Amino acid sequence: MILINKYGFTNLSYKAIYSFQTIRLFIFFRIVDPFMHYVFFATLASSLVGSDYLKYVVIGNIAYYTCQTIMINYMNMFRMERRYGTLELNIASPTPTLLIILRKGIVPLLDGLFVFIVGLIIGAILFDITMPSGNLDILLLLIIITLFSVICFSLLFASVSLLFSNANLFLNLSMAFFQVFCGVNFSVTLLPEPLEILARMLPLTHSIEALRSIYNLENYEVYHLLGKEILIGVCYLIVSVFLVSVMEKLARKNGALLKNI
Amino acid sequence: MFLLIREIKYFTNFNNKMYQFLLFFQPLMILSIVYFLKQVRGDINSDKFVLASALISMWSYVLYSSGSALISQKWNDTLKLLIAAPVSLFAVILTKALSNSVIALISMILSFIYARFIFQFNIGIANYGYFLLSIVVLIFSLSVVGLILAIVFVASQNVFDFQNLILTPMILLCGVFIPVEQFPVVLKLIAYLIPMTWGIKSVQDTLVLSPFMFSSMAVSIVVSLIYLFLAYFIVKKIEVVLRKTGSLGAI
Repeated sequence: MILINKYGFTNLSYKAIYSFQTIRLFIFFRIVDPFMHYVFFATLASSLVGSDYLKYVVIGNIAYYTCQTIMINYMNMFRMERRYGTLELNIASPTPTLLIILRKGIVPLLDGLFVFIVGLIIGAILFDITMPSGNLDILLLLIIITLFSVICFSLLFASVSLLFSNANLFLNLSMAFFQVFCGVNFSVTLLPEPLEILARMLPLTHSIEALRSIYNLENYEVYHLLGKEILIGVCYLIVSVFLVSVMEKLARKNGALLKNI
Repeated sequence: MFLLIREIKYFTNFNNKMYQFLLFFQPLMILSIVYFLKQVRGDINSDKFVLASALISMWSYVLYSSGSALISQKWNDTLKLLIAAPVSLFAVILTKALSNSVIALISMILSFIYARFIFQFNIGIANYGYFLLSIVVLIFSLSVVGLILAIVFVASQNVFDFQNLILTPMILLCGVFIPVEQFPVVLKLIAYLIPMTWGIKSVQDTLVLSPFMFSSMAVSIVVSLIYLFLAYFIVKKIEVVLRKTGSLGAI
């Protein structure tokens, strides 16, 4: 608690985005809410397919919930800036816009990391999802790569969300799309071929396959999947940086950014 | 009746993006998952899951809409107008809860349409008359639950966060996926105290023409009526406190 600088950039960014304003509330919601999410999909899948499928679904949803947390927070970050009229001020400030976004992105990154680790602990304690020994280094690598690709995508997603007056529908549709097409509850190989190609262009799909392979629930080449996930993350990063710079130029030219929406 | 029609028009309008996902798209998402999971194991009876998809969307809609019915008046600064209006606060909240349950029916109808025409699932309604009767009973129980939620969430500033927390436990407790009869005793007792459990049981029983379907409906109505009377007295109390002190909980 002492380590938290009350007026520091990260702490203020947190206070600006989150509805739970205390650490106690944060921890409570970040443990109970994901747990409920896992239980819901575990019950759905096990009552449909059988309890032997439970671990497969919970692992998918641990990665999915991390992605959902980061995407929502990135979108809220942009949305709040627009609501309180500070979006243009960020662009006008002498600090590069991308640097401001990256610094503000520390909060969603830490939140995502927390949710991922808590998810794996919940999986181990309550769903008996134990990792084979000796895989810890690959797991850490996977967590870093997954967070990287999801953050790169979230940056793009949050920028696009500024085009909508009410981004809730856009967010919910995107999350539902991820839930169905990223292989969260079933393998993407079950999708028709064009949809599988689309699924493999999304972040998370390869990470989920790699995570299941680490836990011996699937049998893929983990490093190969992680390589693809990095590549996808880099692609999204390039598009996101391009989009942010276009938005910045437009804002400087027009003196406003998406004000009429 | 006028308020009911106005509410239905407002919430189903495509310009109101708040609840469109729950009404129109959530059933599609759940049915898609069921469809692909069905491919993992072919011999699955999907009827139960079509109904489950509809019930989840209905419950989600009622939770988020009715749960915020009273607190949203505070956010929109219209609560004082409601308190000053010649209509009782109970009548206003009940109308909202009732209209929200009727609107939630849209997601059930859409679930059946998606299930039949997109995913080629069997819906398996044995008798449409009994089924419609059980739907009326379900709507009544959902309205009462909505009314209670509107009262409960008066106490909280973080309404949406707490709504997220009770979304899943209620689905699981009310026997949407696993029959309540299979629960441990304590959970079974809690589940049977929730009006929605009986509403859902009525619908599930009529699908298979269970000999207990009429008794399920009767119990659902009785349990819902008990909560309705309780809610009436609590809302009256809230109204008195609000008139006297000007504030209560988060409102």
